[in-house]
Amino acid sequence: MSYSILIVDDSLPMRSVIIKTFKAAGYASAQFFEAANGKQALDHMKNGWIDIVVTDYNMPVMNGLQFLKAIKTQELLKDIPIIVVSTEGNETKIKEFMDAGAKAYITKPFTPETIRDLVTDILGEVDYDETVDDSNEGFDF
Amino acid sequence: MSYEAIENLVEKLSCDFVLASPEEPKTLSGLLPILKQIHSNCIKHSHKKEAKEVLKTRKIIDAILKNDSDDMEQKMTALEDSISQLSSFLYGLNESDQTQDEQDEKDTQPKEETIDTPDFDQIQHILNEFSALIGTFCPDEIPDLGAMLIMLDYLIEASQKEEFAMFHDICHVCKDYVGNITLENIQNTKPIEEGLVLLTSVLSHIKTKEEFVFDYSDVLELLTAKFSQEPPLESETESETESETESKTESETSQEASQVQSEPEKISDDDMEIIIDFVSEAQENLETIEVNLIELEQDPSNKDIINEIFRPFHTIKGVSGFLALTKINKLAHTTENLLDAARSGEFLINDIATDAILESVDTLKNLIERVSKGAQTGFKQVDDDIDVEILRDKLQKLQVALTAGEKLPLGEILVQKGDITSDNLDQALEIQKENPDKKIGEILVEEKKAAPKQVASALMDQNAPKKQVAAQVKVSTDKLDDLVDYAGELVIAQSMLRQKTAHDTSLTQNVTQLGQIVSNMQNIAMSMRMIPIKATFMKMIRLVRDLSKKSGKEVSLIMEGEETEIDRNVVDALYEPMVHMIRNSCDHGIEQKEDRLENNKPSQGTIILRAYHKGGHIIIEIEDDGKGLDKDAILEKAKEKELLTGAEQLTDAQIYYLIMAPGFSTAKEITDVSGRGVGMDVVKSGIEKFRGTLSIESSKGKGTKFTISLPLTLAIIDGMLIGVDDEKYVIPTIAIQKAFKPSEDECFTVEGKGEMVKDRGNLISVIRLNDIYNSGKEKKVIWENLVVVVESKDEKRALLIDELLGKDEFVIKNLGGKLEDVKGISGGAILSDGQVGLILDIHGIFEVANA
Repeated sequence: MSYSILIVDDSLPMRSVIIKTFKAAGYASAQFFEAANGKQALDHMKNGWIDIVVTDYNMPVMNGLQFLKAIKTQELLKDIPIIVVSTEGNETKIKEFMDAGAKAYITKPFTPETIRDLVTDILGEVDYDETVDDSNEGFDF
Repeated sequence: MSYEAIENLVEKLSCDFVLASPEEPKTLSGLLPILKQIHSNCIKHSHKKEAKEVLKTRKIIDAILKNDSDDMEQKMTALEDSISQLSSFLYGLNESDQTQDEQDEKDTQPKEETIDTPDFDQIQHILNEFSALIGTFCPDEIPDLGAMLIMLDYLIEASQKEEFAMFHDICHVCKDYVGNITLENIQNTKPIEEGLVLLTSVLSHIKTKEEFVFDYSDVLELLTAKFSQEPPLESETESETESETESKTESETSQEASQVQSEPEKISDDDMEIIIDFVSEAQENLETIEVNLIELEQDPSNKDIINEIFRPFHTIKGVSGFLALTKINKLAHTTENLLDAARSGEFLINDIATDAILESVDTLKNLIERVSKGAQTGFKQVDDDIDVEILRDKLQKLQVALTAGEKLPLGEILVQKGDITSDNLDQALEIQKENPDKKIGEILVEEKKAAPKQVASALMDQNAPKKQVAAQVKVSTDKLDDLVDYAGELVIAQSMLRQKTAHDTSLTQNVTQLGQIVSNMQNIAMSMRMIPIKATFMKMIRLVRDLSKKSGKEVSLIMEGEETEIDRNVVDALYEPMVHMIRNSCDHGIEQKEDRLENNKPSQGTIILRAYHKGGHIIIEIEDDGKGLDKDAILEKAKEKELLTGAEQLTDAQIYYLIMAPGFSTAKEITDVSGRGVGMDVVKSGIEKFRGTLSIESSKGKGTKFTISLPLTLAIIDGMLIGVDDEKYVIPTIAIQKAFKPSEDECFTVEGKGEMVKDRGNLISVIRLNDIYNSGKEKKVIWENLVVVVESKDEKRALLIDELLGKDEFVIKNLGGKLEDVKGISGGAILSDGQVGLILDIHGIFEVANA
């Protein structure tokens, strides 16, 4: 069984790009779930097995920070690692997120290598006994 | 915090599960985050096994959520089991870990207990594998036997503990038996199967700690008895056939057999049946051997033919062994050995070997004739007068001589190299006679006739390794067929890609390159299935020889183009039709000697077999210089058979075509060769089955020519894609004469013939494809559309179509099932846009239109 990854972003193309990058980073066999805002994401997390969440900051209904704070109040979900995707030069916001308990942040544009390093860092060797295919190196945006 | 946390989570999991129901997916999916949490905790504390257990539970939930099975109940029970197991696991983990903490982790006691369970699993697993192996086992499979022995060894090893004692012992007995299968060629695997059942049940008893109280001595007896005692030595043949499963050494068989031969013995009823079958089979087999031997002479390295010859000998040897037909058995065995050596490439069969094999065939025929007589009289016939030993000896010597290779004597080599003269050699040989110990080389050097260097180099030549034939791989035709199929699919995919990327200039070059590679690949795949038609032609030689002898006519067969290659699958289609037609030529075509001379023809009739390629087709022509077809006789017969009314205007080709009607024969008398009227219709349908056509040309008094045209391959058709309404069809290019748009004054309606168009002065009937396939809504005006003139069997029709879409190669797909016999359609092809286009069978359409 492979990783289950939840992508939270209000833009469909952006979600696709993130998924693509993850796949290029060697997580091609992972299961990807998508949510358009924090609320949807939260619902999803309550009803599924999620290994890692990648969320955007700016979203309608429930933005990234609200979403993050909401997760931290949930006993069952609070340990699931959250990666925040942000744009460059927004240090104050990043700090807010890290304070709220985000595991890591990445800035757009990011490369598959960044993703891979980050995920290995966070999830370690938990790969559910499946060999991770990382033959698609060098995918860049 | 950890264990408490896990405990809490597990408790929550169990509680939530009680409330969960498959009707409400949310209650189930809600379990997943809990599981995830447990999992992370397990990982954190590196309890890998427990984490795995969690994943198992997750999988079950996933499956239920997918809702893809109807046995929800079962799944839920599985989930319940899994969760309760999980909780016991994790609670236990808690405790054991605590004790471990206390006792400083050098606690070995619980560890040993955990080893015990996998032990059972392992043994169980091996037993399962073993039974799978037995299921598919065939006693000649040495590797399987090896695998069995290894498994049994493992079982013996694993069951050394006391509680396994009984299991252990049975394993030993089983192993001994398997060993005996290997050594003594025992065919009976029944005892070992029994043993396996016993082992399984013993194991389950040990597992549940129940005592095994059943008496299993009978199984042990079965396993040990067979080889500890000799097979009963009764001279009655009955016991022999019964003990088919047992093996016997040759000496025993011959001993018994000699007893049998000493006096005429009654053949038992049981044997009788087998003997009668054996005789007919063996006689048939020997016939095929003869035919194949002739072929082998032409192509001595052809392993297939050697195999064809080898197999009948093998069968004869096998059956005769059971029937105590010692002489047959021995002779067949020796011949088989010789062939086996040839088969494994040790030498090539030469004429001497062929003669010897033929001699063996003749002797076997004689012997079998005796057996046959014996079967008729009910008593075994004496065959003492037929001696097989000399022949066997000959065959054995031949095998040794041939296997040793054609090593030239050293002297000969030296003579050939010009180092010594043949006189020198003769002298040296004289000297050798006096000193038999001396090597010829030594003598030559001593006599100073040759330099040591020359002798050495000659020695090198003598022992030079034979040239190796390029390494070859045997591949089953099924695989080749698959390869050709996939190559075909690739062609389709490639052309789809080409169409999709047609507008994209950046890709054009790549796609073109791909196209080339694909077509090369396809050609190679096709060529792998191609074989020269020679083998089929060769079979005709014997046929003509036999036929000419039987009918008393002189007929010679000339072959042309026998190297022409043809798809393996098509070869099979050719054989029967060719036999029929050659018979026809010999019997009806070629006249008697006197008649020929009277007509100023050479006394010897000639049949020419010709093969060549023509535009994606292989053409086989069978031409004779006989009397030709008698048009009037055919017409008369056709009227008699009510195939014609007499009012028709028929072309020559149409008249000749009549002979292919079922049951049509103009022969005045029926010979045993042909003339019964079955034949040409079979030929026709046989060829048409493979999308071939048959045409006849004949001129009275000069001869007849049958031309078979078959596609080179059955997988691909060269066709024109046309559109009619919304449908697309493929017309085989070979049938298309022309396509044009008629003008209004070229279209006519003729009484009794329907609509026609005029093409270069000829009127051609129009077939409306949309009428035949019911696709048309409104009646189309001919001169506003296109017509394609197609031809089949010298008959022309014009198909009314909407548009011509292009010419391409199409991979033929069977329509399959009930659609196979639809008239007028020979198959389907996937077009480059992914749609299916039906491939038209032109002749079929004519028939549909005529009906």
